[in-house]
Amino acid sequence: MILAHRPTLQEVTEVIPGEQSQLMMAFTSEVGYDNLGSLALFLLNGLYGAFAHSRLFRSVREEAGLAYVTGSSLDRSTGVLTAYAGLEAEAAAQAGALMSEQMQKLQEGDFSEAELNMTIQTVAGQLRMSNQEAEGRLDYQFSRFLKGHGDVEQMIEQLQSISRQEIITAAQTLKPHTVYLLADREVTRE
Amino acid sequence: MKQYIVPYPILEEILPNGLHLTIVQRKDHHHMSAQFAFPFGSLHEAITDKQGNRLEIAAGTAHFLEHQLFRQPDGSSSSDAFAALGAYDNAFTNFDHTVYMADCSDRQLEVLQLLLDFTSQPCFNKESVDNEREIIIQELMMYRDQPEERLELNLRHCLYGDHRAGQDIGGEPESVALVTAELLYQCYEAFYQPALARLVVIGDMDPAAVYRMAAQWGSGRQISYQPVQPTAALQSDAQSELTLAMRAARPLLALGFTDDRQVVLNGKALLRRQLEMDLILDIICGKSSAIYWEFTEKELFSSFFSADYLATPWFGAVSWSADSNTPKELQERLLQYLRSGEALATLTNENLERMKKKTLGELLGCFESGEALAVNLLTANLYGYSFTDIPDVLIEITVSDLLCRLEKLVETKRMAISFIDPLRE
Repeated sequence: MILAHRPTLQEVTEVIPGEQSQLMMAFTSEVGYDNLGSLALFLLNGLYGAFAHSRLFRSVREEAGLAYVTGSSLDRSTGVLTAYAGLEAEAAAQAGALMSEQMQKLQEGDFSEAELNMTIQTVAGQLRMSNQEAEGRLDYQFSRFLKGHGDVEQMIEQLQSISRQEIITAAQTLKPHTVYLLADREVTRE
Repeated sequence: MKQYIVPYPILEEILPNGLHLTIVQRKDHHHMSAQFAFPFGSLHEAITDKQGNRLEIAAGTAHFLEHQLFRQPDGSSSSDAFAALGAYDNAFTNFDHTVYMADCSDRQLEVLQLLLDFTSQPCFNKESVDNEREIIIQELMMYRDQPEERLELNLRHCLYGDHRAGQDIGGEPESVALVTAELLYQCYEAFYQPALARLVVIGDMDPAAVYRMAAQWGSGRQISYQPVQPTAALQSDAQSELTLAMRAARPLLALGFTDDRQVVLNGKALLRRQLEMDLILDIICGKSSAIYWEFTEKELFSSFFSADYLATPWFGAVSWSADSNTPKELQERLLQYLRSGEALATLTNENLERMKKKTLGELLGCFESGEALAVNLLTANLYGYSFTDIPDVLIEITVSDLLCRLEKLVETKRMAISFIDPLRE
């Protein structure tokens, strides 16, 4: 079921004692599987946080050194894209700002051909590799019949045909819905 | 493996630069799996310089080096270059080795060259090391919040105390604080020598081309430091029980024994020990055993009950772990089972033959996946036996070998127990 946008951003903090805090930022797109924008959104998620070359890994982990695990995932059945990071509670505000900033840049079309190429090549590589294993092929065929898309090579062609503008348009469908912090101790928010 | 069908020939060579190369050519498979390994892990505590002076290595240094090797001179990560080729890359550090992996479907030789290039160009400086330290500390904290990780680590700590076998592979925040760019360069020189490197490549490519590329690796390298082999952890000398209260869904129990080895085990001796222990565990408490069903029916565990044998040349330990609402009852019944002769009684010829078939089936099954095959080939190479030794050694194992091994195993002086107690709200 597609999750609807919220009129205002929801901020939730819970405290459970531990060694690390978990920050999650969810964006709603109101774009579902059957929508043509769904594949563009899938590539947008690749640029944003799905891989080690993505923005979140580069900025939150490699540049700022705030987290070991950081990235994003897209649930195409609800249209929700979720960014996440495991970090110190005190670093949550800075990481949240980086998550928002990187999303905004992508929404403005501030991404290179090289980044887009890495994303498409990575997805193509994954599809072709998993198609070499019996289990991966079964999975793909099952979802193919379920959702009516083409075979692996047709899917790759389809991804390659998506334009920059389509990705920007897909990015602009995303609205911040909820920022959730599971803190390992009490922190005062700025 | 002579009497069994090996679907693809396995080529093994020691190249002129000393690098151990294993190639499996698969013309029908559009997937390359490459694994490049160096014998540097958490057990290594020291290196020596040219004068023979010993330099201590902080706990977690091997893992730190693995992280830092991905950093390129221009500040980017090697992962970007792999992504541009549509390849997947990853790495991990273990007790005694570090492995860098690359997987791809197209442009296989280019991806392999990239793997060889980035592992031969260390680029460490204070800024990048300081930044990486923060990332690594978050990695350590992530594992500290995982109940099953803590359960296993605490068990090893009980079994091996302050020996590196009893510590986190990634070290502690205090130990990674001691890692410097200079130390990483010194360790790189010592452990990343061509003669110590092991490369396994599985894919649809010309073996001669792979040979030529790998033969170039590390040429002209200056080597001023040498590794010091880890010390063996042959017996338990630490506390025998540890309980940790942390956030967890339900209580966890792990019970373990160090094995009775008196010496460092390598090659076929280590392989044989591993196979014997795996067969014992499969027979006495695998999913087809009576005790497994007894535990299930009495609800002595909730979602998992598993047994594992951790085998390295320098230490070996068997452990059972489970989530359980009645961990004390499970512990008592398991110990009674292991000590009363009930477990010994399951070690019959019939059960052994059945589990041997299962083991062989799994071994052949790894040819289905490039990655699983690469892991098996690499482990064999690192520990000094050949992949094709596995079925030969397996066939030799008898019921009396297993009886003898199990009887010696369950001695109280080598036992430890680890509990995770969920924090109440």
